[in-house]
Amino acid sequence: MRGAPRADGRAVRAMARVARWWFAPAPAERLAALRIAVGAYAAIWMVAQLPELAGVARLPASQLAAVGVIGVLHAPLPPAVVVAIAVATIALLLAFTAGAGYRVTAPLAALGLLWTLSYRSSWGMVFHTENLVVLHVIALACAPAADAWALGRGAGEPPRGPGAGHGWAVKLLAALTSATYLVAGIAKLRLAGLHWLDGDPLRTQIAIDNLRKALLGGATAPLAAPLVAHPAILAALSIAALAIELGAPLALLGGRAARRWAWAAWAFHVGVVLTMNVWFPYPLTWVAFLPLIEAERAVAWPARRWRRAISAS
Amino acid sequence: MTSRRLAAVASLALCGAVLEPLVRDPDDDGFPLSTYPMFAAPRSAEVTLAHAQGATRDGRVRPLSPAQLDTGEVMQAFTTLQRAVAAGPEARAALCAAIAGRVAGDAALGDVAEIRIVSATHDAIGFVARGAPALREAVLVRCDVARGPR
Repeated sequence: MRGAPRADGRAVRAMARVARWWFAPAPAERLAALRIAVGAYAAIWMVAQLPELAGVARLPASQLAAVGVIGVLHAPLPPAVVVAIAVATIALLLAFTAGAGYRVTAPLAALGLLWTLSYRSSWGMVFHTENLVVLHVIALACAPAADAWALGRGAGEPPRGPGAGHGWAVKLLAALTSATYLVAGIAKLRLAGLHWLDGDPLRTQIAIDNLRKALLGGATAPLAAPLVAHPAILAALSIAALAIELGAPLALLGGRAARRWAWAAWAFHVGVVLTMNVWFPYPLTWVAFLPLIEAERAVAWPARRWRRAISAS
Repeated sequence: MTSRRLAAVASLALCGAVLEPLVRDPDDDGFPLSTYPMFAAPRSAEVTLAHAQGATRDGRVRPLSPAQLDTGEVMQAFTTLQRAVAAGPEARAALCAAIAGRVAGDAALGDVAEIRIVSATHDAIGFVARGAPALREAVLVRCDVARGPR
């Protein structure tokens, strides 16, 4: 038993190191940039999804297959109520993006987004394209993301109340991005094992997905036919896809490793478009990967260009 | 609790929630906490899928779009069809009638006289790689497109 105190000491030191890394400071502008980018994306996405949401709200009650928070419902809501909640969520997301009344509007926006997109996924088809943006909005709603670049907040004003800083929230968003890819990679190993690496499961998935689209009047993917005809290439792509998903925790190292992983994951999504015509707009627009880089520079750049264009004219 | 403790609790709760599907049945999908089963499970290339077709009076088949199923999403259209087919004759007939109603209001499909919900078995790889036809096909339900006087 003499080893126990020494082991305890090591565990405490390891925990302290993790805590130092997790709470390492980051500028308030970085978290604010993430609030603006993620909030604007979510608001635009919700506006684009309104017709689709109105469509599923009219489906017969027998088709309701509640997922997540929608489990509290025993019957579908009237379509007008579904649309009203969605419109209110869009208004809240705009306030969230602007940082206006953040302590009230941010949790309500997160709740509205979670509810509305869960409702859309409660008709037999779970839209995995929307998971991460919901998780990011929830994480931002828990964070002091309106300490900078927020409506009604003066430049240089100190953070409200004693804080844990802003770095932990940026790390949290990065960890959520990383974790969703890791879970997807582990799912492949749980369901298909190492067989997934020989390319055959991917080949069949690409074929079935494109068959479905062809039969249902959708557009098929441009590279589906040549790739299905050449299984050896698909074996290489399967290995690459799994390596990217399982390698997602590398993104938490930050710096060059994070940027390289993000570009690899982005390329993976481009590959999904070209082989299955399945679009994941959140990562394809790079908003999903902003927590891995200096987001304040990426968000400030278009604003600077706009200001320069205005002053030049 | 200090705000650092609150931040740690929020961080652990959210990260734990996202990783929780790892201890769930992989087929027990959820939102937004997903097990990501799509594209993960090995599947047979021979698949039976239901789809909707329009047919003209002279027997030509016209493809229908997801819009005829009141959605812009192919996958939602697919799910709506499969669930109606699985639910039995009444649900199939109701869906067929709903599609016929939308087709009746679509000028671009003015020559479509009948809607069919078809169950077709394909070799998906043969279909995508070489355009192979269905191995088997059966019409599950058909209904007329009723148009008012023009």
